Amino acid sequence: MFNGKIVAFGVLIAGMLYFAGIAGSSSCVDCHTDVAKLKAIAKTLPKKEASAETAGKG
Amino acid sequence: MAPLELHEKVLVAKDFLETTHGSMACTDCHGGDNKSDNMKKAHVGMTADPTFPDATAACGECHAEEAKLAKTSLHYTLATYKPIVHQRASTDPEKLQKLNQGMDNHCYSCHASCGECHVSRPNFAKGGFISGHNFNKTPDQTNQCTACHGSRVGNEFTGKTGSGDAHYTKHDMDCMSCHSTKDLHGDGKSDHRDRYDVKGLSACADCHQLDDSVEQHAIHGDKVSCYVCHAQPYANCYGCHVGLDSKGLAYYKNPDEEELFRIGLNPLQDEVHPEKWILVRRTPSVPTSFDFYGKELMPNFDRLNNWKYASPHNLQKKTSQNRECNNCHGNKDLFLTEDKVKPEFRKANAKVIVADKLIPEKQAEAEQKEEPKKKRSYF
Repeated sequence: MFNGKIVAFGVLIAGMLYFAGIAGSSSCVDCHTDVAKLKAIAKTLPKKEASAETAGKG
Repeated sequence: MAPLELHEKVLVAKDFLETTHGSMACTDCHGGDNKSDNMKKAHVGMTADPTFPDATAACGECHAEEAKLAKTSLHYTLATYKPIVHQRASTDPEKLQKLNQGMDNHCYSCHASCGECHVSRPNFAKGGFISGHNFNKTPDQTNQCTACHGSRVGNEFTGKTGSGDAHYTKHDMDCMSCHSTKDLHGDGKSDHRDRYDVKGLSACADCHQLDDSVEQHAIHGDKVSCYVCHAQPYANCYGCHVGLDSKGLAYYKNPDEEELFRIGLNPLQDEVHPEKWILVRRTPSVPTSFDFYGKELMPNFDRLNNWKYASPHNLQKKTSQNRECNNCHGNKDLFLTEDKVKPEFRKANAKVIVADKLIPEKQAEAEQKEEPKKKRSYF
């Protein structure tokens, strides 16, 4: 009976950690797999500049 | 190579999430805060490329050997730059510091990490995933290798200049067909003399047996570099200058470039390159390259040649120089004679310049015709 409680508790914790992990990674991939979201965000970001003095072929 | 849109650079493919690397939490490698719903906060402490400057944490747990060797890879360290340039540098600590600042701003801004060869375009090419963050075992020639090695190697190899390299145009080989992990992952050494000083560096003889069955190989043997007979004219650059514009953005100016072909003397005959005759390429360094950062930073410029060993990636079986003996023999035009080197660089290139008397004599017509063809001719 005592061992059964430990196992059940362990399963509960493992389940919580598993779903926490999924939820954790999904907050990144929610945006990074969504083209429309990224396009919208990209419009709001300043463009990186390169020197206009660059010449030659490198 | 078309530039990537900003959103394309960071778009993760859904199939990546099914892979081994994709099953890890993003924050395991990149840091940041994956609990935050706020974009700015989520990216605090995040690193876009967790494999540079040290790949141990991100890659080392599973790829221990590769991560360890990567630290010594010239792609990572560019370790030969400073020792070479310092030979020309002023011994004045203040001037040396200015020179180092210039090198850090320009030369050392270019490198390739694990991620830049296996996941994204290199920073030099403005980055961005090449296949939705999927990890590719071998680098992509267009998006990765020639994204950096483009203007000379890439263009010459694919035939954008010249007729291309037969390995690519006729045999469909790519960079990785010759350049294995031995070349690219580092060899554990940290004191490379130059970029050719890599243990296990790929060589023609890895595939091509240089036996006596080819008459010209038997004659020229290890006296003449393969490139001398099998390369086409290649790009030579003059006068690179670096600096920062009014906005503080780095610039490089290398306005003069021409395609030509020059045979010089090998100033560093060794086990890897025992040949006496090599192709030489005019590198763009000049005493004033770093003048933006201070005057006379390289007063000892003459200590090193700026016509250097060249390995053009535009090889062909038949070239103009190997069709007839006298296309090279007695043909002063192909050799780096003193008159082809600017007076101010003659001292620096003394060991490379070919004296007129050293140019192989023209072969007599009769001698050429009478020569018995005992062995299979290369032509």
